[in-house]
Amino acid sequence: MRQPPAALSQPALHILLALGDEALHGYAIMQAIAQRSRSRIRILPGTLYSTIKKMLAEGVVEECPPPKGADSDDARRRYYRVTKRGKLVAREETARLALLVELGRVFQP
Amino acid sequence: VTRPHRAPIVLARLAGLPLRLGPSSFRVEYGGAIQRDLAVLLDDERRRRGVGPMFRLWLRGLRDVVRTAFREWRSAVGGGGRRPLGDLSGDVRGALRAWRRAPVVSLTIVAMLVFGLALASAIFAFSDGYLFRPLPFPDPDRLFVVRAPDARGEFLLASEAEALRTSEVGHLGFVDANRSARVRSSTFEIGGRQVRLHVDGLGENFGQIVRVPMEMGRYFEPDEHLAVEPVPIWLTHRSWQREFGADPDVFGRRLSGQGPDGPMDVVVVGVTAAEVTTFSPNFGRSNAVPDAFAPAAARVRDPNSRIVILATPFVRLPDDMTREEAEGRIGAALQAIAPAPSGGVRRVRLDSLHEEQIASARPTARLFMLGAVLALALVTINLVHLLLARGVARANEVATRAALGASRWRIARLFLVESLVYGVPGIGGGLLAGWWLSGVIGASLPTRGSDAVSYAVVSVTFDWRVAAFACVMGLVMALCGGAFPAWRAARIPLAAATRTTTGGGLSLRWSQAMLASEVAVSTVVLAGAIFLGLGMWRYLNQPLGFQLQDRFHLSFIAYAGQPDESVDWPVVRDAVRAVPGVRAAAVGRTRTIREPLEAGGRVFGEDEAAASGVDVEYFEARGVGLRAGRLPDVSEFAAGAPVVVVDESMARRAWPDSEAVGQTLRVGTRPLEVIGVVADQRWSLARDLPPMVFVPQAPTDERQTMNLWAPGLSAEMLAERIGSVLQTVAPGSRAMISERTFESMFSDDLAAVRVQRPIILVLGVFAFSLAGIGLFGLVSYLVERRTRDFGIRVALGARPGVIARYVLRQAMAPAIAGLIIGLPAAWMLESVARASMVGWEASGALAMAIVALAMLVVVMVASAGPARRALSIDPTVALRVE
Repeated sequence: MRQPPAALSQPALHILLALGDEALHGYAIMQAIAQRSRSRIRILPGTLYSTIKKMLAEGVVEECPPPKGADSDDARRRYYRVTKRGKLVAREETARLALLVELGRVFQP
Repeated sequence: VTRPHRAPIVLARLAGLPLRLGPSSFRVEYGGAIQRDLAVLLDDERRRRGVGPMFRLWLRGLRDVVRTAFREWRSAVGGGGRRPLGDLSGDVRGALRAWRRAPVVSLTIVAMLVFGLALASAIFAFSDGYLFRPLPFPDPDRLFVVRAPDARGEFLLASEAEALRTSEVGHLGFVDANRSARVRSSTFEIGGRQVRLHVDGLGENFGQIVRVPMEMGRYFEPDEHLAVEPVPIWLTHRSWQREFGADPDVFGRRLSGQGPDGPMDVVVVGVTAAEVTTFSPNFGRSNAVPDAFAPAAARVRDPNSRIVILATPFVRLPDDMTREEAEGRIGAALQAIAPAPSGGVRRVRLDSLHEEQIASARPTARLFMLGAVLALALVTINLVHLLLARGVARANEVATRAALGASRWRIARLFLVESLVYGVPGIGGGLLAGWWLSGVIGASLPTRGSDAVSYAVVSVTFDWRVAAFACVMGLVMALCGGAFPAWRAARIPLAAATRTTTGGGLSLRWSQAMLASEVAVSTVVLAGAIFLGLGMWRYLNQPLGFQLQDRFHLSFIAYAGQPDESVDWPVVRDAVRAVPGVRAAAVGRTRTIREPLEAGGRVFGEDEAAASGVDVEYFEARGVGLRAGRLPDVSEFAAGAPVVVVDESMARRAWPDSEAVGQTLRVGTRPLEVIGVVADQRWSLARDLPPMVFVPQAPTDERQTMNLWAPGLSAEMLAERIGSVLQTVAPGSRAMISERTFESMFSDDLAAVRVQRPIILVLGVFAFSLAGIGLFGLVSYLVERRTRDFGIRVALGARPGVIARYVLRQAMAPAIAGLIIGLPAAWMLESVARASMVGWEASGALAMAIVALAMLVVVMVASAGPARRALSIDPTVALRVE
């Protein structure tokens, strides 16, 4: 039986959010994170794969076959998608962050 | 995603390398993806923002990979997964077990490392200062020695140097390191002992201009060059340690002693830093390494004295002045101060102080470094061989690990770890022994004699540079020693590894190649050592052409108030000659005759031959060997007969095809008959004299020395007998008599030999023992590998002679191949050595013959044991070996 995940690390949350409902390979995940954050957040390959390895072990993502439309180069890459458990964890984490944002308003002007 | 440009791919691969520090499982799983994605990212950045940002991103990527590797390693260790460095401690334990199983081999390996590193690091400590380290002053390349080359020589007069110091070029800071100090060679009472300190005088502001680094204390003040009491002195670091036990309270201490002119008080105001030994460039023939320095005023020449006071000033050029510019300006200033006598222009040459100080010792340093490198190569080859032999011992372990699925890298690592297990104590011991040996070399450097300053100018210090050199060399040797066995072990197929005779061992071809390479390197090192040793032996045993036994040197001590003219030299000579026990006495050595010399139909130039006037008993008093004819007798001498004696080289040169005796030669316009031929004399070991002509002449000039032959007398007895005679013929004269010895006559030439001899001896003995151990081991190994062959041959009825010849052939063929490679290399070394060692005769052919013979003898002796064993093998046992 898998251990429940500890508090989700920042890179892990970004990867979960970048994946969403899609199946993406590593480089596409990095690009998605950069695009969504307007290049303010960039995860580099070492951290990315180290985090993915951990997330695979915790069962929040899983490997999947490449989508049908992928070109031959992309098809050789490994694709990942979020598991049900991953979606649950992401939902809990974003809710926790939303609560924090709510509480943090006391300092807003 | 398009395929990235080549540069990002290479950069990404480089950035991926640190992943090797982490667990291999992660690297295998994700390493490729990380490198590929990083390459695409970098390429994207290059296209969008340029090369600079790409490099910045690469650096971030590299840092990210290093952190990732570290994180993965930590999680693997903490999470109980496979350790990133595997069971390294297991490898170390295995290596230690192997060590315990064969302690002799293990200790041999460590001892070899210790000796090799000690030798190499001690030689490096000596050579470092001459080859790599700058002088210990700030901006040393701006310091120059001022020379004024003209017909008289190239030294400035002290008065000229002093005038330059106060002239318009004075801002270049003319400082002199050759001034006589008021306290030169004085005896002081230090801690209840009488200690003699040799004190060098320094010019005004010397410390400030040269920027002498100090261990403690201060520079001299300008007014301290006047006669102040107590005289301020700096101690050298060496004398501070030797005489004061490096006592930090020495600063400000007053010392009372006896100076050359009576009682003298000094006060210690500083200690120079350890790296400063002397400032004197190689000046004069009897320099001594100073123990202390004192400020000294410039000496001005006494107009009544014949003594000329020379100076060798240093200058420190400003950054914006070139050497040529300074030479021009100083030359012009010198011309204004003291014009050339013949109406010419005085020229000045600036020599680099660094070159001036170290150039003469550099060839020795270079040669020793070469020797050290070759010795290290020899150690490495031996290490490879011994570790390979250990590989055989560990073959079972290797086979078991391979059978259990250990990767090639894991097996190779076993050997690398093993070599490091030897390397660590080897390096530790090597550092300690090297520290000790460099102290021995430092202590054996000459402190007196003409070469003293050039050798002692650089301090032999075992500092961090030497320690780093030893550590790096030790690691390189240990890893090189282990790398080859590791590579071999990793390549052995499993089936072969399980056969104990070959697992981790060498193929026959490799063994023979190893033997050949060992013989080749040993040949070069040994030939070098023997060549230098023979050269040194010949250098020290050159025929001198005169006798030293029972020969004495008498010198008159001049002192104030004694006029030279008061001594009638022929009378003094005759009086000394009449002293009981004195068989011959001759005034002076020779007096050069500067007149044209014509002999055998040709005119000899001034540098081709020399004519000298000699006293009547010159040849007997010096013991110069007569080769043909006779020597002039007293009556000929008294009558001024036109006779002459030539030496052998003159005879050969002038009359190559006929007897010299009976021939006539001309000195000036005077025809002289050759009545005798004497041996060629040698007054310096390093330089040959030109061919000589000796003309009997009465001593007319001032002489202050005399040659004596007094068999069976000691210098003290002679002094006693002559002293009383002198009181009657030359009242008030004082004479000093010393026995002529090889050391006293050639002390200048011997200084270099004293430095080189111990190092060459150690190098030679080391090379020979290493070569012996290595060759012995290799040949035994080579023969033992063939035990099975021999068994089969014996079983098939081979005769003992056939087996013995076979064993010998197995070892001899590669040994001869090694000699064929090594001898030409040794020959090249010989030409390098000949160029480096002035005056050393070539002994190459003999050295090489000795080495070739020694190598073959060692190989033969080494084969004898295994051959005997091979002959006594029981065929049934031999066949079971595999």
